[in-house]
Amino acid sequence: MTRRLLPLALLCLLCQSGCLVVDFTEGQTVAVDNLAKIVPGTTTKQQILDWFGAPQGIADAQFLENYLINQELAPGPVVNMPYADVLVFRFTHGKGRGIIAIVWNWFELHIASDTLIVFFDADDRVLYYGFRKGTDDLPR
Amino acid sequence: MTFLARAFALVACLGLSTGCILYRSYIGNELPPAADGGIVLGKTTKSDVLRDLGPPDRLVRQYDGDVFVYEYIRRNESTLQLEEPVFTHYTVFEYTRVTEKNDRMVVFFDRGGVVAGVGFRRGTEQLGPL
Repeated sequence: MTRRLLPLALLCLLCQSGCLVVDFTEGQTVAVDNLAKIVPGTTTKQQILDWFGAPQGIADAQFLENYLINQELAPGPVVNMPYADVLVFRFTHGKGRGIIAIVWNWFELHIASDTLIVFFDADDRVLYYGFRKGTDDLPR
Repeated sequence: MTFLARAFALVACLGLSTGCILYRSYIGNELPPAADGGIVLGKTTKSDVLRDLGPPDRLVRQYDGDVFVYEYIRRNESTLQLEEPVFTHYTVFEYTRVTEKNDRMVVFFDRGGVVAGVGFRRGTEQLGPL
């Protein structure tokens, strides 16, 4: 009986394994279709707000970003203080996965962002802007 | 030693959990191989940098002009742990090694929005496999 129980006990120990999948997002997706409408020197700040919504750091909740910064997992917000001549729109996506076994555990976390930054002149017209779709580089 | 005693010893040894934990994190977007290659001091503008490299991960404002910071952070954490798993969770031994490296580029602009300085260091290449 004992000889039969031993493999069963070992099997039970080995079965105490699992996998972990984490997927999280924060912020509003950047309306990529509206990027082509931006014309430096012509587009106004109000148009940018109409097209892309509330900018980061002024109205968006930043729970996740604050948590990641506290855990030293993110470099921090693009701008620490709200500036009248800069608006930032950011969508953050994180993907994590892991294997939990008895003697070997492996975890991997990827975090990337789509970021749009727009600079304005003294008349609140777009001076220049930059966009990067970083979430495309996340692993599938 | 009876078979039962040997079996008990084996299960006890397995029960004294020895764990190896590997944790890898990749934060941000990888910088292109020669991120600073196209930047010419006194000539390249803020608009050029935004077009070629996209928005910075951080914008710092100085009296003399803006600073763009681009950063890609990788962290490798490896832990070997030996603990009593059932009753006390007493850790007999634990070894942890954390290595964090980053690719970081800093671009300084003058008040007119022209590049005044650039610094680039690719640190993630120094990261070992474990």
